[in-house]
Parts: sequence; C-alpha cells; structure tokens
Amino acid sequence: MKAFRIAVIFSVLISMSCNKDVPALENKAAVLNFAQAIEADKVFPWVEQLATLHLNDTPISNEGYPPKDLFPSDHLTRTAAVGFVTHALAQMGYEADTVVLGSEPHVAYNVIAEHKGVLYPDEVVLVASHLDAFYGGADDNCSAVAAMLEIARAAKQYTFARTIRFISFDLEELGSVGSTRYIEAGYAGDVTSAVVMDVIGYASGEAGSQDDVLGVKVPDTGDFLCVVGNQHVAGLTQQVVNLAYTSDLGKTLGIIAPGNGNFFLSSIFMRSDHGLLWYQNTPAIFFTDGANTRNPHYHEPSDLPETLNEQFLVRNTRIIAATVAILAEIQP
Amino acid sequence: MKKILINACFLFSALFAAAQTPVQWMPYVQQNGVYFSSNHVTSTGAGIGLGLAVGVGNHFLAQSDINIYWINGNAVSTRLAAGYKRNGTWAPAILGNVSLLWGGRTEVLLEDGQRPVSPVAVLGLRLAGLRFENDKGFVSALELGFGFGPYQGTCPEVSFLCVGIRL
Repeated sequence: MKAFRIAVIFSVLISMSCNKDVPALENKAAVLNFAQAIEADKVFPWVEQLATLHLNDTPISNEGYPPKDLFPSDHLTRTAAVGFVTHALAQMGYEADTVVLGSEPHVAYNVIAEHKGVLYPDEVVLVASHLDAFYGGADDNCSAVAAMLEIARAAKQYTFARTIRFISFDLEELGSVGSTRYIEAGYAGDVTSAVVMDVIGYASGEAGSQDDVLGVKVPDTGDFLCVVGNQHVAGLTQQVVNLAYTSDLGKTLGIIAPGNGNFFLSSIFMRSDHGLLWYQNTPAIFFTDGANTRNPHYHEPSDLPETLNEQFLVRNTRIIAATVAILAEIQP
Repeated sequence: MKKILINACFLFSALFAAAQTPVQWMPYVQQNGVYFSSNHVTSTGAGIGLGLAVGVGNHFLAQSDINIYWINGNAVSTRLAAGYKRNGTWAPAILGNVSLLWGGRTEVLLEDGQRPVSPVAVLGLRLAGLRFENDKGFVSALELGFGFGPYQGTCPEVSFLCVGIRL
C-alpha cells in the first residue's frame, strides 16, 4: 500500500501543475500613452551621431586588459560620448552631472540626470545604458544610449510617482566597471528598481539567425527583443511581455533566470550593468537583442548604423519606455 | 488527457506492485544528473537523491526517489519508475519512469507572458545495464535515461552511481 500512497501523492502533484498568470497592469492606458510618446524619427539620429563620435574618438588605455577574441580592448572609446550624452540631456532641460569614479588609467565617467518623482521622490528607478563602445559600436551600445535619450526626452512631458535616474555607465566593456564602482560607492542606495539596456538594435528575419543562449533554447529567428528578469522581477517581466504582445508594441521574448540569476547556466544573462544589482537582490530588468548570439558585427569594426534595423530599435525603445512608466508609476 | 494517462499509469503500476508478493524493500542513494531542455523550460543540474526500490517477485522492480540538483538554481525531481529486471547477481533492469521537475530553472515565457507549467512532467525510459544484486542490496552504475516532456522537451539523464540496501 506504500507504493499506492506514493502514486496518489504524485497524482495530486501533477494535477497542481499550472501556468502562472500575468499580474494585472493597473495603469495600462497611461503606460501605453508614454510608450507612444517615443518619436520614431528621433531615435536613429542619436545612433548615427554617437557612432560617428566613437569612430573619431581616441581609444582609452587598455593597460591590464589585453585584446582577445570578441574583446578588442585597444579600440574602446568613450570620451566624446560622455560629452555628447551630457550635452544632450542638458539640452532637454536636465541638470546632467558626471560621477567620476576610480583612478587612472581607468577612470569611469558615469553621466546622470534625474526626473524627480512627485509622490515618492526618494525612490529611484534607474534607467541605464553604457556609453563606452568598441569601434563605432552602433548596436553596442549606441542603440541603447539612443533609446535612453529618447525616453529621457519624452519623460520631460510627463510626471511620475518615483524619480527616474537616467544614467550612462562608463567602462562596461571592461567588466561593468562604471556600474560596479557606482554601486559600491553607495550611489545606488536609493535605487528601488532598474531598467538596463544593452545592445538593442539588431534584428534579422532569417531562420537560423539566432543562436541558443548557453544551453537555453530560444527561437532561431532573431527578430525579437529579449526581456530578461530573475525571480525578483518575474511578474514585471511577464507584464512587459504581455503588454508588448497585447498592444502590438513589438515582438519580445521573456526570459526568467532562476533565483537572482547568478547560477552557472544563467550567468550569461547577467552580462551587463544589471549584474551587480541582481547580486544585491535589487529588482532589475534587462533588455537586449542577444548580442553575439545574433549580431555578426558584435565587437567588430562593422558594428555600424547601417547594420541596424531602425524600426526594430524604435519598437524596442517604446517597450522599454513602457517598462520605465510601469516602474516609475506614470501619473495620469 | 495526457495527465489522465500519466496518472493511470502511476496507479496501475502501484496497484500491481502492491498486489504481488514477496516484496523486498531497498532504500538507496544515488548521484545523478539531468538536462531537461525545451522551448520554454531549461532545467538542469547534477546532484544527489534518496529513494526506495521495491522488488516484487524475481523480475518486477519499482522505484521512487527524490533528487536535488545544482548548476541552474536549486532544482528537485521526484521520480516514480517501474520495470523489469533480470534475476541473479547481474541484474540489469529496464524501467519506465515519470519524473516531475520542480524548482530552479530558466524559463522562456509564453508569447502572451504566461510562465510555463511547473512542475514539468517527463515520461521516459531508463536502462540500468551495470546493476548487481545480492542478498544485502544492490549497486548500479551509469544508468542512462531519456525522456520527453512538454514544449517539445527532451530529457537525457544519468545516474552515475546508485547503492541500495535490502531491509
């Protein structure tokens, strides 16, 4: 009878298996309204201007970081981009600032600007992209900086419950140096959630254009935006994917890593400035086109604006803007 | 329908096992690994497990065990298996099994944002070619299994070493 009891327990457990429904989104209309405030013709020019600046900039020292495959450390630039992002934010009416961290030869210049929240100004939603790039870096990471700037521009016309802190981290390509120093120096103590974007402009409609991601199966056509969360932001990840799907914002692929994401097989999903936030259990959601699992120009001299899909980038910017609106609680 | 069939198999196997005599109870420990890969769930790891084997007569063998895995989060599998074994010192076995995979895993959400089912049920077959028995218990090395699950999932698994004692 013992085996029979075990079988009954198994039967009950099988019956319990179920899908987890998507958490309801309360202010959907306002969120969508903000997403639509992203102007299609404003995003791509940022990419073109930034890529040109990177191509004409002088590479920083790669002392201690010898170049290797997919890591051309002797072609990393950021100086002109720091000035460009600071100036762009200032032109929008922000008080842009630069947080300088570390020492030579690898000082990190993180550019920040804030849009104060009206209900919970001390609660900060970090909206991050890194501004350093190899070669022109159109996809990695002019695409995400452009999205961040356009979201910042659109946000000026809206009010939010929480403060939005736009930040362009420096030296991500050397191992998330800028964001790590920023967090370890205590600047992120007021951050309650984060939206991090890295490499979001390359798409392909060809079958076989998308590789699996370290043993995790994904569709083999690289025409979607990866929305990556861990267990702390599982509900948010579901909401974003559902919103994009039901409102026709764009094609996404929601991925949820186990735990806080720092396990061996899922560690690939921590490959950007949200990594340390995940380690610290700060809710953070990550957007990417899959980088080297899709884009053949990743970290190559050919990572140029003409290889990107402008419409894809605009759609992704709207999806990310919607996510910012959810987290910062856009006001009606 | 699939769940009903699985349940029916469980109940049938259990009733069959319970109705036969004589019965040998053999608790066991094992080291094993599993890699469930599908379009929406990747659950994998290596770890250890505890189980109870029931030998009924000379040839019928049933097993149930619980295993914990690491590598991609803390995952747990519960497994129920039944099958045929050879009588004698060298006692290879072939077992049909149903496993439920719980806990840590990487999920690819469904198109509308729903999370994939949890736990994942895997229906499979396991071969224990290097299995030996005597009146004190059994030892089995390199049991190889393969199963199928939802979302076009496949599930190779291996038990590196399994040791049981006869009660």
